[in-house]
Amino acid sequence: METSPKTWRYLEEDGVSASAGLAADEFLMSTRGPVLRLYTYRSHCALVGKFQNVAAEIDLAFCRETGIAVNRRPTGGGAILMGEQQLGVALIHSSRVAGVPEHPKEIFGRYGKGILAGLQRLGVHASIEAKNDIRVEGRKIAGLGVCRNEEGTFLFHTSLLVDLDIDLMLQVLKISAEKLADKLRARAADNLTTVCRQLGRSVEVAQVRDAIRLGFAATEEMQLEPRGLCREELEGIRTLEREKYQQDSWIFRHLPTPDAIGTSLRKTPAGLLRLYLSLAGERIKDVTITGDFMADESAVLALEKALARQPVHEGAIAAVVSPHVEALGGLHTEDLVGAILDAVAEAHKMSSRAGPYGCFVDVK
Amino acid sequence: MAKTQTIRFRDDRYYAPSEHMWVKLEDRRARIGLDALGCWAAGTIAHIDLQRPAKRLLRVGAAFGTLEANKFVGALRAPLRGTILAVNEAPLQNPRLLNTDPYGEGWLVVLEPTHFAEDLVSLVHGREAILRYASEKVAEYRQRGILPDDAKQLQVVVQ
Repeated sequence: METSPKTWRYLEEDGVSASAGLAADEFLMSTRGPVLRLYTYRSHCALVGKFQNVAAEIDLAFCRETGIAVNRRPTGGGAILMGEQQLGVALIHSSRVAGVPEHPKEIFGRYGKGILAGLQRLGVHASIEAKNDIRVEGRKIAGLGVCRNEEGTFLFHTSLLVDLDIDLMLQVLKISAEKLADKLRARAADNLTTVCRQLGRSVEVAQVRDAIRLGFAATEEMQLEPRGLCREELEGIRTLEREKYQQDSWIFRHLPTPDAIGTSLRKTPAGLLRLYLSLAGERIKDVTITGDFMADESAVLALEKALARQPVHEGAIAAVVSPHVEALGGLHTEDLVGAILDAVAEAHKMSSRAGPYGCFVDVK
Repeated sequence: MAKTQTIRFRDDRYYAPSEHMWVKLEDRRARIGLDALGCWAAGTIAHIDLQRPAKRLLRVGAAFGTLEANKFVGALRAPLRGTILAVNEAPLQNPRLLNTDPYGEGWLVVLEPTHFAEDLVSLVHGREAILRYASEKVAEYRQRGILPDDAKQLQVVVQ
C-alpha cells in the first residue's frame, strides 16, 4: 500500500458557476488526490444533496426569477445556498493509501479537524457534533458531506459560512416568510451561525481561506503546493460539466424515495399546536413542533429528534411520543400523534410540494 | 444494564468481507445484499440507488449502486463478476429495509454470474468461517471507533 505524500496539491478559485464548481470537484477525484481545493461560487447558487428532490427542497420559481443557479452535488446531505460569502472546501484523497481513513465516520472526524483548526486560528472555537456537523456553541457553522467511488477515492465537501443572507437562504429553500410562524423562522436563524457573527465583525473570505488552508496543513502535517488546473484538466472538467452538471437529467433526476411535506394545526387544551413535517418515503425525515403551548424548548427538541427516521405508523409514533409528554406542558400523546398523522396525511396529498429543510435549516 | 445488540449472519450465504455483501445461490443465479454488519456500521440508510438490469458486465468491486447514510454517499460494490438480471424495488422505496431486513426484503439485485466457481472461492462461507469473519470485523471496527454509539454490548450470531 502506498503512503500518503507529504505534499498535497492546492487549488484556489473564486466566483465559479455551480456546474463548473461541481464538475471540477468530481473531475479531481480522477487524480486520486491528495488535493485541497478552497473556492467560492458566484453568488448565488442552490445545491441539493445527491439524493434530494430538487422540487421539494428549492423554490425553483424564485431561483429562476432571481437568477440563482440550481444544481445537485455528488455528496450527501441537505440543500445549501452558496455564494461569495460561503467557502467551499473540497478535499480529495484515496482510502487505499496507508493511513488515510476509509469509513465515513473516520473521514468526517479526521478532516473535520482541519476545519476546526482553521476556525481556531480565527478565534472561533468549534466542534464536530452529531458526527458530521461543525457547530459553535450548538449553532451550525459548516455542513459536511462525503462521497466515495468504487476505487476508494473520496471527496470530502464542506460549506463554511463566512457570512450568510439568512432571508435569501430561507426564500431559496422555500421557507418564505408568509409560510413560517415567526417563532419557527427565529429558530431557524438561531440554529446557525457564521464566522462574521462569531467574531462580531466583517471578515474577508480570503482571511478565512488562509486560516483553513493552514489548519489542514497543520492537522495533516503536510505542505500545500499551489498547482492550478492544466489545459487537459480544464477540458475534462468542461466535458463533465456539459455531460452531467448542465443536464436536467442530473439536476432534476428522478428519485426512488420521494420527499413530501405536510403541516398541521390543532387546538389542544394546552394551546395551539403546529407541526411541520417532511417524509422520505414512508418514514419521517424531519419534524418541527411549535405553537403557543408552554413547554421547555429542550423537551420539544428531544421529541423532534426522537421522531426523525420513524416509520409513519400510529403505534410506532405513539411509542416514541409517549415518554416525552410529561415534559411538554400539558400536551397529550393523542394530540401529538393526531397532529403528526394529520401532517403525514397532508404530506401524502401534497407529495410534489416543497420541503422546508436544508443543510443549515435544521430548526432543532 | 447495557442493551445487547445482535448482529445476525445467515449461514446459507457467502460473504464478501471488503464489500460487506452477501451472496445467496439460487440455481445458476446469485441474489446479492448488504450484510447486517455493513448495514449497521453505515447507520440509518437514507437512500439507495441501483443500476438498472443488464447495463454492463460487473467486475468484482465494481459499483452497481450507491447508498447514502449520515451524509455519506458510497458505492455498493459487486462481490461477483456478472450482469444484473433483476433489481429489488422495495428498498429503493424504503431504504430502511436494509437496516431492518438485510437478508430478506432488503436484498438488492440478482446477478447472472460469469465466473461463478472462480469468484466463490474468495468469499467466506460456512458457520465457522462466517463467525470468524464477523468477529474479526467487529473487533477491528471497535478498535477503529467506527461502530455506532450504542455498540456497548455486541453479539454476533450465525444461524
